[in-house]
Amino acid sequence: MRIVTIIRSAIAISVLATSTVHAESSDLNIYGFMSVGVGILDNDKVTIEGFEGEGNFKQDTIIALQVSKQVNDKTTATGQLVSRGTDDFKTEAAWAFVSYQATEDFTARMGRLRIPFFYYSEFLEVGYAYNWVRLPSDIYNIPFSSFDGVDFTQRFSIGSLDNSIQVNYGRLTDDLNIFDEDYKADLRNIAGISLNSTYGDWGFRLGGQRTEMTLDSQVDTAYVTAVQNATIAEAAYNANQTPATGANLQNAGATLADAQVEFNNSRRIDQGQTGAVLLSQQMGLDLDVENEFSLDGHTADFYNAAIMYDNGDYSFITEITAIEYESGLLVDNRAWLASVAKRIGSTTTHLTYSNSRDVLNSGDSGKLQKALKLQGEDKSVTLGLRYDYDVNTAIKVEAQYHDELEHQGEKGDHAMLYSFAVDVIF
Amino acid sequence: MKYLSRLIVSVFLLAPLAHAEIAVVVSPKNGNSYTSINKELINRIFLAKVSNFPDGTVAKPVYLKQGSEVRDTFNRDYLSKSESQLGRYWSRLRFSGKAQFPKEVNSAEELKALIANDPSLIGYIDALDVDDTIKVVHQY
Repeated sequence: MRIVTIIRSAIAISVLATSTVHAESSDLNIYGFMSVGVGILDNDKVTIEGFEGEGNFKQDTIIALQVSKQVNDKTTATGQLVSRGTDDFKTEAAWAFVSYQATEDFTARMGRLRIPFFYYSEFLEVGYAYNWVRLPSDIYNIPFSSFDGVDFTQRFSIGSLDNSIQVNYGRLTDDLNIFDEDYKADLRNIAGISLNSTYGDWGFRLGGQRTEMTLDSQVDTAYVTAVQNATIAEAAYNANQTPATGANLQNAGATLADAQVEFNNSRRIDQGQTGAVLLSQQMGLDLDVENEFSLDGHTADFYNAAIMYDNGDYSFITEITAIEYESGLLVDNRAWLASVAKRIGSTTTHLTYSNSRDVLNSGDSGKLQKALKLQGEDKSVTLGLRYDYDVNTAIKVEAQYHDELEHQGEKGDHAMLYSFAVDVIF
Repeated sequence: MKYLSRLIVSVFLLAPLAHAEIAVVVSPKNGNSYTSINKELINRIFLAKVSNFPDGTVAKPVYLKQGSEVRDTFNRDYLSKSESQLGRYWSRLRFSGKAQFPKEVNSAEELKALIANDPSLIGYIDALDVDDTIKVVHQY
């Protein structure tokens, strides 16, 4: 009798336990974040952070919903749908993955994930998660942020130093918006590794990513031929001015004028690729220009290191990045930022310096890049206030001085950008 | 006069203790000793930086619900964060799909009932709420 009671209560407990687990695992978690903002630029000759003069309410506005469901003890499905003002509020999945937590310290994820390029990359649109209105574009300006594939995270501690190593691999086929123009892109073999460590109030990060980039940009061969023919016709006419050479020159000139219209209407990277072929011939450079100045499976390497400190009242971050492109069409870049913040009660004051500098290749490849005016250098100083209105709402004001030291190979301009934003999580 | 000044001194000394004194507690079934769990480790467990007790068993933090004075004190003394900073910290983990906010309970009673039989859980309560259903591993 007694044994029966015990068995009964054991069954009751296990049923209870099962139902509790079931209740927990059937919970659908819905979270989200939203930012609304306005920016005013005092100089309409420059474009900063996507702003071009006047008040712009759309640029910083973004809303995202994250839904996650624990499917069983170790498996969770998560989706994050993001709708951006910059994208006319088209909704896109920034994340859509199933994660499998094999042990307390090892997690595998598969699906659409963020590429962990730099420190803020995995939460780059969550304005609430950082002090700035938006991440400094001197560093955070890579035109793609998600990929389809897998990542694996292993966590381990050495004494009080807590670490996580994340390895990712995948591919992205998507339309990329570069210089405000769309390109069909195929980024293969996106592979990377990131190490994040924390020790007390300190944090450290090292990361590297590689991908093979293919864009649908191409040489405008009609234009190249038209320029070549016009050059030949002009030389022939100059050498021997007859009605025949004159007529040839006139025809070649007319063809070139038509081709020029087409060329002027083509996208900037198409123009760069076409210009590279022509300039390389004119300059007599020793280059396999059709290959070296194209984007056809050429590698791009991204490196990053960061140091963070946060004791609750004072915080500091410095981050340095390097991007190396195999193709001459995109110029290698070095960038860094340093930011300090002081919190008093609900108000955080922060000051940031950032710098981005393009680095030309050596030799003829660099000469051609210079002739194509591909390089630029920017620096920014940002002073801002973040006010935590409540636990889920941050109000931010910011003034950013942006100096284009060099823009497309020419001396650039400078401007002030004033921003106001409200960031919410729910 | 001397008595009065002594009184003032003792009131002054007691002032810092006016807020809730925190007891960090685990199940009596948890095999870890009082000395092995320090403030730093508690910080790391509650911020999901480590997921094990010193003896290697799984450690899962349990928070009191937002708005509790005990939670505010714990946030400040153990995590060096305001509630907003804590929200920011977890929003980074949540929206990068790395971790969900830990379990939260409404009261010390609920926390004790939850923790009593589960050696993997660790929580905090007002030291005045400590009883023999749970084991204190740190007090501040």
